[in-house]
Amino acid sequence: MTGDELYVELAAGLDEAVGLGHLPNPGVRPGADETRNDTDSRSYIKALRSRLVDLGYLEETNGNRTSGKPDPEFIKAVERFQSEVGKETLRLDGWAGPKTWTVLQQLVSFEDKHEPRSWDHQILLNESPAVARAAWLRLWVMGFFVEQRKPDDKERESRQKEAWDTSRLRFSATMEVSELIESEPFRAAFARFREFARRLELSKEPLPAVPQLNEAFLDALFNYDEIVGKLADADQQTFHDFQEQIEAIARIEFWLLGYEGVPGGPQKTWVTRTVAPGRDRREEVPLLPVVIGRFWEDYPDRRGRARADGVSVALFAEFRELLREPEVKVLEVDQVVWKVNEVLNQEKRDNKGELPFVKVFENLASSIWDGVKRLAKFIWRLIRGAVSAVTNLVRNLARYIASEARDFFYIVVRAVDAVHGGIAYLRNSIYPATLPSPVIIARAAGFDYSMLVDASAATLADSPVFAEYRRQARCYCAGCVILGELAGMLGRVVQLASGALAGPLLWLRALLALGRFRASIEQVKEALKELDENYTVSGAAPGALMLTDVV
Amino acid sequence: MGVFQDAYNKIAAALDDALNLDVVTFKGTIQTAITDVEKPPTKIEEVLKAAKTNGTVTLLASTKMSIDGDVLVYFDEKITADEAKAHAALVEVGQKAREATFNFILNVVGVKKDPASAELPKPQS
Repeated sequence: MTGDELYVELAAGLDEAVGLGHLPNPGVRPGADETRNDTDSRSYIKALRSRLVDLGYLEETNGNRTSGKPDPEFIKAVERFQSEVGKETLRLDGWAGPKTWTVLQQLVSFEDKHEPRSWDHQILLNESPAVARAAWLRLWVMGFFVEQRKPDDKERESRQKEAWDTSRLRFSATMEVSELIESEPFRAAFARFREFARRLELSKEPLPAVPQLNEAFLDALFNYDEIVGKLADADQQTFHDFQEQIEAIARIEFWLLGYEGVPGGPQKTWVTRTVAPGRDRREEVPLLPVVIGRFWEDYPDRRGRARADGVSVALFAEFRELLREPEVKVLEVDQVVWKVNEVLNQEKRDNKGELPFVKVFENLASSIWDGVKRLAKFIWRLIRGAVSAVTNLVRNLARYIASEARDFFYIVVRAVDAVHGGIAYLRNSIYPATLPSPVIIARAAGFDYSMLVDASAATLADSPVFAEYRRQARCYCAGCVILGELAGMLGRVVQLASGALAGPLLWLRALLALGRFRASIEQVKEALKELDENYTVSGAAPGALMLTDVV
Repeated sequence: MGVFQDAYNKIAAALDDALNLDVVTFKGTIQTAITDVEKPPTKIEEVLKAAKTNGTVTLLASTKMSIDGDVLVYFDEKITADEAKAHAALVEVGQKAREATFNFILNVVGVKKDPASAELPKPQS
């Protein structure tokens, strides 16, 4: 590809991705009534919707959970959330921007390290229905609303399902804290968790005897990694007494690691069994044992005598070991690109029946906005050859690319804004456009300059007009650096990729590869530093394309 | 046309004449140079012509830099420190913009050598 062609491909890919809603639309002003929430991608809106449904701010309907568009009901749900968090923290505008997302993430995410103590500065713990809802959701997803059933209970499965279904947090436009935490189901769940926390020593101080949203309870409840780690040292009695809850926690962990299943109640899957020579039968079985089996296939070394189809201390010990692996900040770019292209070129289902990447990405990337730390480590293990199975490769790559592409897109947004600021500089053969002025600057082709200074000008070099012109010129230089580096990196991606780069996912490949070219990214960042120290994309520069201040 | 493509075209057009860099600074009465505020001038020549017609225009400073590194500088003896500083700043603006443009073109065309662009072996599985 020539330089021109590379450029056109990159531009077209980005525009297409924005048009399809895969990437945020930086050309609209966030917060305005007519474009509120339009600044974000479809997958971001889907992730928000899922969380708002789970917290009871949005009704549980298929459309509400899966739509990628911000409709009036969605906006009202965001406003409800913002209102319950408190106007001291969030503006009540129905726009799910970075601040709203951050607060929501604190209340819902499993992997992000939580410091409920710090919430007290932002959210009034005991007075915030948002915190109460989050506590309910966390107790629910870890199974604490479900009683332990006796193994010989013939109706165990149906009672269990009913318990999960009836204890789910339902839609409620308004909610009082007391209404939630003083209810009988919450009291029972709280009591179970209290005992669980005592057995695992999750808190230095005992949890209160009656439900309270205090720091000790929230610290123990929201420190998910600590719970996983402690279960690796738990005794058999604890595993027996809290089997429902430990299985629920295992489901969460598998979801974060990219295996099948979602957090919540028990699920089922279809498997094919050979009942006689030449005769197979498909039957529906519980999903968790199947996933555990697949997990031990991926990590056989530490299984020992642990059950291949059930939760065990050994299982959580392995979870803990995976958590303890050092975090991966930089992956070898060439290896990642090779692997990504290998997956992206996948056309049909593989021999285990996995869907092509494109389909999985569309279905999945929006549904998991958590577990990025585990995900990065997984990809690194895969590249090193430490993991051979590929059953969850596509899922995890989809998540990784969605996450990295979104982060890197912000750099691209800034670059485009810088170029447009610079184009204003290029376009102005006479500056400023509005006369009279203490100084007039004219630029000719080849960057020759003529400057006419007014005889009565008090200050020239430090005047606002001159400073603004130099700023636009810096924008231009920064834009040149950024655009040049982007084109150069894209050229290298083309070289590394196998086969022709075609199809709607070119931008995915380019963005992923771009995110991994550290040296070039450093150049881009240095170019951005050339601009004002607190550079924001605000649409103030003449001719600027980007209006969003999301970045 | 895409944003990036638009930018590239304009940048490439800016290099019509990049062999020499010429920066000149004049002093005049800008207020009187503008005879029609509703249709302000679009070229410096119009401004200078109007300024000369309505008053005096003085050449304060001139810098000529050739591609091979030769530099010819002229400063009027009455130039103030502030005016000299502005002139020098404008020379710097021109130099940096020209250099950034050259590097951009080189990057896009691929003339710039980069070790990362070499063929890399497929990682072992």
